[in-house]
Order: sequence, then structure tokens, then C-alpha cells
Amino acid sequence: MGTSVPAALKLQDEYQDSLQVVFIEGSRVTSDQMHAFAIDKGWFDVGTAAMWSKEAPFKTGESVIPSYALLDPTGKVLLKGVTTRDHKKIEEALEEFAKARKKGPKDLPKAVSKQVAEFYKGKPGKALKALSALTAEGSRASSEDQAAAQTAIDTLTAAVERDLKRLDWLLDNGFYAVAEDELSDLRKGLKGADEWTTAVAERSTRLESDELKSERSAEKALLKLQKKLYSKGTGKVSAKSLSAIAEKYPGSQAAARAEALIAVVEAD
Amino acid sequence: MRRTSTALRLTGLTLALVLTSLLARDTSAQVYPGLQTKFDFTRSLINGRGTTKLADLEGKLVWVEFWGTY
Repeated sequence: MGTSVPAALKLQDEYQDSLQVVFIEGSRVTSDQMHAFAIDKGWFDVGTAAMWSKEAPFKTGESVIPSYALLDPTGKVLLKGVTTRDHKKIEEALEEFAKARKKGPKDLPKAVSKQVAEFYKGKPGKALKALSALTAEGSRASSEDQAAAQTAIDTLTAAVERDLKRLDWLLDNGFYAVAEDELSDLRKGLKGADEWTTAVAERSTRLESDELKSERSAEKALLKLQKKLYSKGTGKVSAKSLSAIAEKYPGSQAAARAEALIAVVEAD
Repeated sequence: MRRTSTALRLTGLTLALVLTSLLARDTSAQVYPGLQTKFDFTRSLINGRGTTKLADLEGKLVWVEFWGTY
């Protein structure tokens, strides 16, 4: 993995809300070695949202590396080629997508498009409420607008459900700090959307429960060490210090994460 | 006997080369613009926070970058 990775990471950071970068490593290194390499390059230190895998979801057919495929939000291929050759093309596609998302889709009636844009501006509750008003009995919206509003409601509701599902995964797997941030965004964004208030409140209660107190302390200790690992590199955090967390909080999610990091530190 | 054995080896080698060449030209799994993709990962992605399939990333553009020839 070389020079184009930082370029992709930069764009990942710039387009956090509209882009997900997934690197696929094809060499014979193990997953832990790949993780260690990325840590030592400082790619995690910037708090990147990019992901890594050794499993190729498909082939690009290119004989030059790095090659890429850019997928639209439904998984349809928009572009494919060699990253270094197409970097400008990729950047333009990202810019266009982010701009269109801010303005709302052009192919939708104005009233619906405006609410789709509001949704992605961090106001999903307000947007869903306004769209529901368009489809409500007695609405003066045209039948065309009503149909478009219903389609938008279905799509955007699925997006909120995806966020809640992701939140559940974070809570189930001990990523409480991230869960706290995401819950805060959801709480703000879904304010006033009664149908979601309970779902968000349930997750907040779970996060603040006594049951998770010890787990959260364990994660706090792990995150402190992980921060050092990401900023200083694998050579500066010993397996012993990670083991100490696993021993202090046996059976916790943080202990399992610490053990996984031991394999990464030792793989280097 | 030796001639037969050499001939068999050569035939085997030729068949292997033809097969390798055919496999190398297999473009069935290659993507192209417009193709709808779907994929389940068997292992968690590093920094993936619960991502197990491409569909989990729906709602965003997904830039899949390959560091290997596929």
C-alpha cells in the first residue's frame, strides 16, 4: 500500500458524510500484519473512517495497482479504473454527489427534494415529519408529489433504521464512546419525530445503565492505550500493556479488543 | 515407452497452459459501470465497526480501492 492511500484518506475525511473508503489488500500479508502496517503509517492516528479488508468483493480487471471501483449509494458501479490515473475523476464525482445531496435530488418534486436535502443536513426528524405531512390524509400535495414523498419516506426510514442497527452493533460490541457520539447526533437529528424518540431513548438508557459501567471503564482504559498505539506506532505499545487490560477486565468487550490488538502488535 | 511418457507430459503441460490462459481471461466477476454489486464479507473489516457486507454501507458512495491485481 503506497502513496495513493493518504490521498484516499484525505478524501474520506473531507467527505465523511457521503463517502466510505474500503481498501482491499491483495498481498500475502495477514490481516493483523496489514492492520499493523496501517497503524505504523499513522493512518489510524487521524481518526480515519476508512476500512480495510483482505477479501476482494469483486474484480476490477486492471493489471495496475491501485485499481478502484466507485459505487453509488445502492451499490451500482459508477466508475472503475486505476486510482492514480482517475483521481481527478473520482474527486469530481465526490464533489458532484456531495453538492447534489446538499441541494436535494433534481429528479424529485421540489417539495420532496427540499426535505431529502434537510435529511442529509442532519435534520432527519424534521424532514420525515414534513414528508409525512405531504402524504397525510387531506394533504393538498399533488398525487405525483405524494407518491414521491412516500418513496422518499421509505428510503430515508431505511437509512434511520440502518443507523439504529449500527448503534446496536456498537453497544453490543463495546464501542461505547463512538455509540455515545452517534446517539447524540441521532437524538438531535430525530428531535420531534415521535416514532423514533422511543428507539433512541431505549439506546440511551442502555448506554447509561449500571450494567455497562464496568464495560465502559474497561473501554476507557483501552482507548487511552489505543490512542498511544495509533499515534506512536506498534513498537511503542507492548503486548504486556494490552494484556494488563484484558486481565483487569476479564470477559469484557474491551478485553476481547485488547487481545485482538495484541495479535496486531505482535504481527508487526 | 519413454517417447509415450514424454508425449503424455507434453500433452498435460499444453492442457494446463490452455486452462490457465482460459481462467486468466475469465471476466465473469469483473465489474463495469452500471453493474449492480452485492457482497458479503466473511471476516469483519478492520475499522469496520460491524460492517459485514457492502449493503451495510448503503447511503454513501463507496470507493473500493484494490492493492493487488484482481
